[in-house]
Amino acid sequence: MNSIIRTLIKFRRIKPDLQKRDAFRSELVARVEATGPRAHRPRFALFPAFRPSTLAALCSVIIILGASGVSFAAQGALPGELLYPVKIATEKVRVATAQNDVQKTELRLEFAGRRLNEVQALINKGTATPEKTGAALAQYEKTLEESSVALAGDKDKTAGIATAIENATEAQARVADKISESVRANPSFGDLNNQLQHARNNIEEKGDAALLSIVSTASETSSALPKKILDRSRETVAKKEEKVNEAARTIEEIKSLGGDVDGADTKLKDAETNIKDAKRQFGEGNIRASLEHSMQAQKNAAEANQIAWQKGHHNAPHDDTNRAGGGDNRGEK
Amino acid sequence: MERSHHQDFLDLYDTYSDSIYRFILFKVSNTDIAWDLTQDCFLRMWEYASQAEKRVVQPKALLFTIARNLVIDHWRARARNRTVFFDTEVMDTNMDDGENAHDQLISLEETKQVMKLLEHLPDGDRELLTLRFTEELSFGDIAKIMGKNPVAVRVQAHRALRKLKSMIKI
Repeated sequence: MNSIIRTLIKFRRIKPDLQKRDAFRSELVARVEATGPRAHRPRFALFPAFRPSTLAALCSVIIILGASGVSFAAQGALPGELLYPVKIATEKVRVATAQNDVQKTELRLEFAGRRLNEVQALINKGTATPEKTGAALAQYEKTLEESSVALAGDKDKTAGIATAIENATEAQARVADKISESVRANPSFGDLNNQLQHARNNIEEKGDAALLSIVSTASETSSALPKKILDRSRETVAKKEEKVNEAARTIEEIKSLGGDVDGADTKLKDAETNIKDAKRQFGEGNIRASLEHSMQAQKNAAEANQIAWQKGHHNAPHDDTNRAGGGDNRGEK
Repeated sequence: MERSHHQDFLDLYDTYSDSIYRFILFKVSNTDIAWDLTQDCFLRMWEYASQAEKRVVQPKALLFTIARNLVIDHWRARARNRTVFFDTEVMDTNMDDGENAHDQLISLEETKQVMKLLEHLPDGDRELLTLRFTEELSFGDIAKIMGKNPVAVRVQAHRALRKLKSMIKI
């Protein structure tokens, strides 16, 4: 009889794949974050919420902040409001008292997401100013940067951290795009549009780095990539290809207007070669190499764009010279 | 300072994801399906908890109840009954055993023998024994999950163990 019970107890050693478990955990983090404003009262009567060491740290925080009621009231504060600094301070304490790097990263990503929500809230309330949105977005990018630094740390935790970043940046990209859409048509939000574009580029960069980290770790340990990561990698290569195509269209447009695109053409060719390699590598199952090539292709495309705009746009005939039937500057370098 | 229910929910996941996976795996004998249903279980739990007006007082029992219902739906959708308790081939690749290779082999063989015995028990008895001894749930929690009276559950567990004992003697 004891052997039966012992065997039943031994079944506890059966566990799911650790990577899948961690990957889904990050998905849950993104999902609860996307749910929106959360209720402040605890929903789960689970078990004592705090370990003794955390409890001691939090007691000192409550004393420092004056009263738990103050930090509670601060949770809904927006940039420019009186309690906003308390909200930020509370978040910093929560990160500082987190148990490990993965938890710290998850909290940072959660708080980074709050900055985007605050920008949206300011717009909805009609109280958005370039200073307030600039401050929130700068804080967002700073927090995103801090969470990415952990990627270079302990290799054992990298997979969990990278997955958290990858999932969070995907969710945050959607929020940033939504905000951009709502303000794009409004010229008074010109500064905000630029700030959002900057943040958007940062989100993409961090998401790419995290995805590459996940894929690299999997290839180092010869583990199969989860379907979700394969799909994400495929999407990433497709997005980079679209950027290369966009650059090609822009350069063609500038060329057709008589602009000089020499130099840009060369970079575009590099971009096209890299994206072709990326697609080939993906087809051969070399996902890491595929992602690296696609990211390089995007860089080349961005450089091509920049050169084309600087040279070709500058040298393109202006409207007044066009009226004369030909531009004095046409073809000049 | 309040503790976010976001963190509470993640703690729930950290604490019970392995248990829920095992519970489902014993019923579906397929690691991919078991993992898919495990994810569904936590997603449903989040949906429920984020919309419920009152706090979830016994999240552990609720999680296992959701998992149980998901398995029932799974088999219903396939219009057939499960006939195998647990595919021991699956077990070979899932057991995280810290012992050396020789001990692992002995351990695995003993486990397979017990599993063959468990195969002869009704579903309800097997479920009860794994919830009690593998997942360490109380009879009270098991009663809630199985929709039975706690005393009845205790009696059923005792009878199931007696059945197994008599099988060993044969």
